[in-house]
Amino acid sequence: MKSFVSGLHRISLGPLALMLVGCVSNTSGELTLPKEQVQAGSYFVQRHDKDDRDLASTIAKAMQARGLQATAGTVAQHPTETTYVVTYVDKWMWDMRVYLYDLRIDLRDARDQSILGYGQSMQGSLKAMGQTHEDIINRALDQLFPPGK
Amino acid sequence: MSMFVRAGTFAVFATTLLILGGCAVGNRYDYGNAISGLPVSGTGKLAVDVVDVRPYVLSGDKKPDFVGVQRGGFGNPFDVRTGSGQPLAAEMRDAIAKALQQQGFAVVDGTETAPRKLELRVFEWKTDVMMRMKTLYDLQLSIFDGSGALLARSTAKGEDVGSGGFESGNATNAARTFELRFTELVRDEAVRSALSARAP
Repeated sequence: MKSFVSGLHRISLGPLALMLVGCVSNTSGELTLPKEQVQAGSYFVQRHDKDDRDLASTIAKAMQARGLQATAGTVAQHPTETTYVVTYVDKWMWDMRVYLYDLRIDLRDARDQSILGYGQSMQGSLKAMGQTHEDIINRALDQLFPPGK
Repeated sequence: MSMFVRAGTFAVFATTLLILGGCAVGNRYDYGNAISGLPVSGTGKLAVDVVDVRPYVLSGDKKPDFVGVQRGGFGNPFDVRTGSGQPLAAEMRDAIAKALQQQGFAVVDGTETAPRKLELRVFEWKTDVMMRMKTLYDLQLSIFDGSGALLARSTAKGEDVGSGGFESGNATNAARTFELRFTELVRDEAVRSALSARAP
């Protein structure tokens, strides 16, 4: 019986570790462009078909707040003179409410669609609590366009 | 009582295994559509080949469709495989060939004669995911002329650490990491010049 109880204790560590996943958050990103090109270019945030929250406009506003010339719209609204295209993958989870679990923002060259960098923010349920979409977008953009660099 | 304890132990084990293994078992990442565009354009025939020289694949320890591991709740690793079940080299070649065709090249098999040949050698490519995704890579891109002489070469070796989560997110991250690293190899000035130059 004693070994059964100690076995249960050990086993309970697994679910405990899983429960702690809710507290996890991490960010990552990379940009291969020099700073001069970042500031000089124009950006189009391309809204994807399933985005009924219009994150594209929120991303464009957050980029404008960083001094970047950014607009947003659907593929059909893509201006021809844009230097860079911004796309994003947003993943939502439910934990007593729907929250933005993972946001990945990719930066591409508008001429050939080649990837130039990305910024990503992932947050578990507890970490996402009290955070707005703007907060999470800014966390991802901080990785793509690191402040001060 | 002992039967009750045994049944209880089994139930706890089964539930725990289900929870721990649920997200970690049977993951697949698709590399065949990883590249949306490349910073190079050209015309004419271009032979494309990807050679998998990962030591654990050559030794037979891992199958050619092995792309990394997904860890369960105790850090226990489960193999991740390619989306199509094809070898990793075949999926990577698919992605590269499609992207180069979009840029104007007439891509042919690596064994065919062509004025230019692009060869990617994969010394290492492996993802390792628990709370974060680590990607280990060691890639070498070479451009040869029609006689097999080396025109340009670029390499990328390192370890990227990014966000880890659920299967679909990890698959996206893995594919984009490959796209980023391969694009970096192609963006090398000598490589671009060798690919874009009109063949004699």
